[in-house]
Amino acid sequence: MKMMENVAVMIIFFMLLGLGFIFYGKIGGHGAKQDIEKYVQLQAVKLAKVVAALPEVRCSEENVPVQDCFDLLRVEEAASKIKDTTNERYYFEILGYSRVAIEEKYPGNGSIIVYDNQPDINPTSDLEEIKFSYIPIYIPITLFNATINQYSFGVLEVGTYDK
Amino acid sequence: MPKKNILTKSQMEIMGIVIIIILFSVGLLFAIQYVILKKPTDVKKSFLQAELSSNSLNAMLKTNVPECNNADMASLFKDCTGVSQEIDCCIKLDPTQDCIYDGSISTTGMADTCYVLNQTINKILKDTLNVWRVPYIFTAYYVESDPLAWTAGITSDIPCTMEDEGRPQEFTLPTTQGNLRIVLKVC
Amino acid sequence: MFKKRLSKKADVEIQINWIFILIVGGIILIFFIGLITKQKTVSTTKLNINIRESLDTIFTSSQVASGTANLINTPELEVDFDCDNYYVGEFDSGINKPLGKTRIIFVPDRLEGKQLITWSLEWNMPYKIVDFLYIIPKEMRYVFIFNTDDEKSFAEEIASLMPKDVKPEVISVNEISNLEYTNNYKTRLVSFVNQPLSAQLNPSFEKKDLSYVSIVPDSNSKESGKVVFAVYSKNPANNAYDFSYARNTQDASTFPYIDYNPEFVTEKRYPTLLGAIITDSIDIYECMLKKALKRHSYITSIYNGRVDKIILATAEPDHPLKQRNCVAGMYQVTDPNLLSGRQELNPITSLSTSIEKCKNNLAYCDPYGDVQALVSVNKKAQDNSCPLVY
Repeated sequence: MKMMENVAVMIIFFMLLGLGFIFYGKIGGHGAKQDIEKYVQLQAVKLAKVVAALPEVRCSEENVPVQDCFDLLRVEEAASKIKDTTNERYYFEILGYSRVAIEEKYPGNGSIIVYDNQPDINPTSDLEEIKFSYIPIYIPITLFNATINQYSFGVLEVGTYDK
Repeated sequence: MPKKNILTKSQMEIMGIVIIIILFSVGLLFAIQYVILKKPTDVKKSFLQAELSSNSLNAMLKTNVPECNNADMASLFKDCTGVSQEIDCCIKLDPTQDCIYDGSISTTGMADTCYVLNQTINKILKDTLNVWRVPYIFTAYYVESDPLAWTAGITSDIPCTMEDEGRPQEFTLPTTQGNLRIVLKVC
Repeated sequence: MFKKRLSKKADVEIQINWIFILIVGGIILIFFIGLITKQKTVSTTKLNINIRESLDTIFTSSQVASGTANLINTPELEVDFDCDNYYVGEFDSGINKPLGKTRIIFVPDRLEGKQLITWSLEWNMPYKIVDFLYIIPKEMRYVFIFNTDDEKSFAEEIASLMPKDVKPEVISVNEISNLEYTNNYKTRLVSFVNQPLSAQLNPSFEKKDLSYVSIVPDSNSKESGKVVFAVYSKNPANNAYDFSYARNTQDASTFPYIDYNPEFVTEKRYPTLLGAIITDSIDIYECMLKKALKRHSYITSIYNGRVDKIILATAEPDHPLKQRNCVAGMYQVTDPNLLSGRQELNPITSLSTSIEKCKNNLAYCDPYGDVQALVSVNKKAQDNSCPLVY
């Protein structure tokens, strides 16, 4: 009788322990999900900072960088150079799976896609449907056109493709 | 005597259960407090609020306005608040039209700098912050004075709620009338 | 009789109880020991990942902000570096991550200790190419050696440029024999002396990680020159410790340092030379220099295209640039001493050719003249209110 009681106590003890672990696991999972979301957001913000500091596109006066300013001629050149397949891999290391576009809002209107690299989704893969979300960040900037010495109001669109 | 023993044993067991329940409740409370009720940190939002307001203002003030002989907007602010306006602005109703610098806005396209500023800032903010559904408030004022009249209509379609209010970005522009504060608050 | 039977039953029950306690206790004990072991492995991996993430953040931030030096407290570190990867934790079982083709990090081949100094400097040739990142373990010792007064002032200039936490020692060549091992896990001797160093060091340095680099500036400018890498090891011929080239021959152990210091900048100078001083690995220096030149090549091609567009605009009859006194030929190098008197419409083309040459063979790398030509053209453009080259 006493033995049965002991066994019952042990079963309840292990059940409580198991429940505790399940609860801990669930909380851990919840925390991990939040961490992933935070990481994805941080990646987009980090990328925006990296793009703004790229010497390929930013304005400079006697090599002194002009804050939040993109040189239109450099942007055009960079866009065509990056699209070149030989350079694509190099810039992939800096920008990863993302899209970088610059749009003029005033006085003119126009848009240049500097970089756009979407992850390849294998269409034959039927294991799991992979969806990539695009989370863009818009940052107001000035666009400098050196040939006509004009600053325009533009927008830098930076977004990462995340699973 | 054995009756007393049984009573003590059952009391002890109840005490055990009580301790287990207390421990369990405390654990549960901690979990709810720190994990479930924890507000997720929105990195992007805090970055954007700061970045959007400061960049919009900086970029706007540097932008050249073709309607006003390519003068930058910082000069237009100074001109608009000055005693006499020296920058000639012209809003062409059609591209072939020439501006005649002695008439009124409606017939010849001449415009004062304050009017051009209002139109330009409105256009820029409507094409950007409004499109992104970001509420904002734009004002310009001299210290201890009311906001300038021409800035009155520059607000977003969506109102700012108290909960969303971000830190306003302020730019101080020295003018002949004193220091002009240009403020853009992104919510 | 009954009492005896009862006591026998109780004895058996007590024994079974003990066996039960032993078994269940054992199971619980094993369960928790297993849990602790697993948790320990998980936390070690987590720590390694955290270190890797922290290093990664440091690498990324260097691409955004330059000129800053920071002393970072870390958990006890063991990080190995090579040209392409870094390894956190045990070399084979630890976590490795690629450095990437775009990150230029001058770092000793192994980081140890609990404090790191991170520092970044812009590499301008003459326009900004990239931010170099330097990682210096606080535990590493740097000793600068000079002979003449000129060498002393150069050594002191370089020492003053380094972050204050590095504290390099500047000593005369005559004081080398007095130098003693001070328990630093790495010691780097940096010689500004214009002769090969052959000195008997204190025996305490034997079997210790000691490396050596000799700096030989060009005769016309200290901004470019050569660095010769050597190691302190046992000579099999006489069984004595001595300096020997890091690679088989002197030529193979010699690399250029290529800097351009803008006139008005006093603190961000000699970035590649500092790279050769800070890293103790000839492989890492060679690799990072090649990466930097590759980056230069990409940026130069963009600047080249931009200047071509501006030059094309200056040739247009009614272009607004004409009103700004910006006419065709503005970007030509007019100084006969520069570019060997060549007249090129676009001065970046010449720099671009030099950089391509450097990429192919570091031994014949000397873009300094082209950089100076470009500086003169940029100044001319500025004087004439023309769009600047950079």
